[in-house]
Amino acid sequence: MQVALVLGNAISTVKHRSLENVKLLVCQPLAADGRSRDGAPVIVADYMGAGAGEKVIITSDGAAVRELYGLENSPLRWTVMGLVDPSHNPTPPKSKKEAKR
Amino acid sequence: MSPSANSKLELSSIDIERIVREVLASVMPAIPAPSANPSANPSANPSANPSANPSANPSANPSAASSATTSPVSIVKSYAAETIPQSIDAMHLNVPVLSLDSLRSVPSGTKQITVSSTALVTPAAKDWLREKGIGWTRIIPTASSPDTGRSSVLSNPSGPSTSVASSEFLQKNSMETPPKRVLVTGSVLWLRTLEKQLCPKSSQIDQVQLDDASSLRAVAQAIRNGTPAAIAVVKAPHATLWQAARDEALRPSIVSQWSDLTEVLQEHSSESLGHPKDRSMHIFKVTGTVTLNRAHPTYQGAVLKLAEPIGESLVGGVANEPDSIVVWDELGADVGSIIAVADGGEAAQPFRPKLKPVDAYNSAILDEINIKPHLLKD
Repeated sequence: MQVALVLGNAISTVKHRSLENVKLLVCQPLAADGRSRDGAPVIVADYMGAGAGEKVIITSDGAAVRELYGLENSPLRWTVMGLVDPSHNPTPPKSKKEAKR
Repeated sequence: MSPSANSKLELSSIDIERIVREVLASVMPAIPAPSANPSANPSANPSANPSANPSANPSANPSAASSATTSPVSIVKSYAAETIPQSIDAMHLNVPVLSLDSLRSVPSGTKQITVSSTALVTPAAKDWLREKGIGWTRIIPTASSPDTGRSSVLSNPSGPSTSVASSEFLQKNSMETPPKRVLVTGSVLWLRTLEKQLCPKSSQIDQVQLDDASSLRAVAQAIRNGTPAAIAVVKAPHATLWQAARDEALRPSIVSQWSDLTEVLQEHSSESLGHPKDRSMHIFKVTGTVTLNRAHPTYQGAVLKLAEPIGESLVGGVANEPDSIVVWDELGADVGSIIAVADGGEAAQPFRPKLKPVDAYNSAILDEINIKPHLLKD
């Protein structure tokens, strides 16, 4: 699971049948500091109703998603598992030297 | 030809023959005498009627009586039979290039051929060896035994088995200086942070290489030195996999997630190429099509497209070296289409319960991608 920022959404007409009626988000995975980007954006299936600008928790466990939502033979992998509360502002982890000071 | 010239020629040939016999007799004094002399009179059996053809019987010639039972041809044949047996199991060819010409010296019955680690094996030679059922391996001289010339067998991709001496020495050598279990190298700068996460006793970051090709060379060198597995974190995994598959010493595979690494190493027990950046359901752009001339039976009727990632360019990032992949397309994407590609294990899910070796699957053709520009500024 990883924290990601929802950049926007994607619209698809022709897609796999397991992706019908599923909202597709363009999410940018974030690093541990909660701000810097971690890799390229991914297409994430959203069953939670997340919107652009929100931070979400995404998972890449395709088997769990198939079992959770009753999908069969689905290529779906990235899925929104939860929405991060906007009041939560994670601070970047301090190094050992900074902690000693 | 005059009689004098003929006799002179006959005497000279007899002298030459006698000199050869003497030299060979001095070199090999205990050569067994053949029971028959086929070169003397191939059409007749001398033992059956020795006096029937006196000119053909060497015993009738007093000058050749000392070695009447053996001819130079038969001696040379028996000498060659002693040095190069007609039926041997293993043979070492110390040639820089193993080609069909060099394989002509391989006697029949050979089951195993070893070549030096730097030898170049031509495809025709590989086909010939495969056709004859002869296995081949590469050997390199190890640092612990430079004088003896003994070496450890590195890989045996097609051969049935290695020689016993090499295997014993490999075990002995591994007991003295056990190789690292896993070598980790790569071309990404954050690789150093992985060293603490991995077991420090069994793995070691070799060196952060400049590019993917250098990483691949480091992996190949490590495998040839006895390391059972190696991980390369590369920028273009599929291109690197393609290059690694051309090396017989490597059995590469791509691991998208670190959690899959243990499973891959257990299942395949081979060296792996891994890249931690999961690209499943990433955004790709179709750049072309792929047509197969010969394919796996499960690929009959497959529509394959060539695609390259464009996710970095969407958010204004600097795109890395394009790493095109082949995508199984069931949706009819055209060149230029933006698609969402499922990579890894999920790519084969749509075909279940059938098993297809598919690693990338076109999940959706994206008509429109809406990205809020103000979110990119952060």
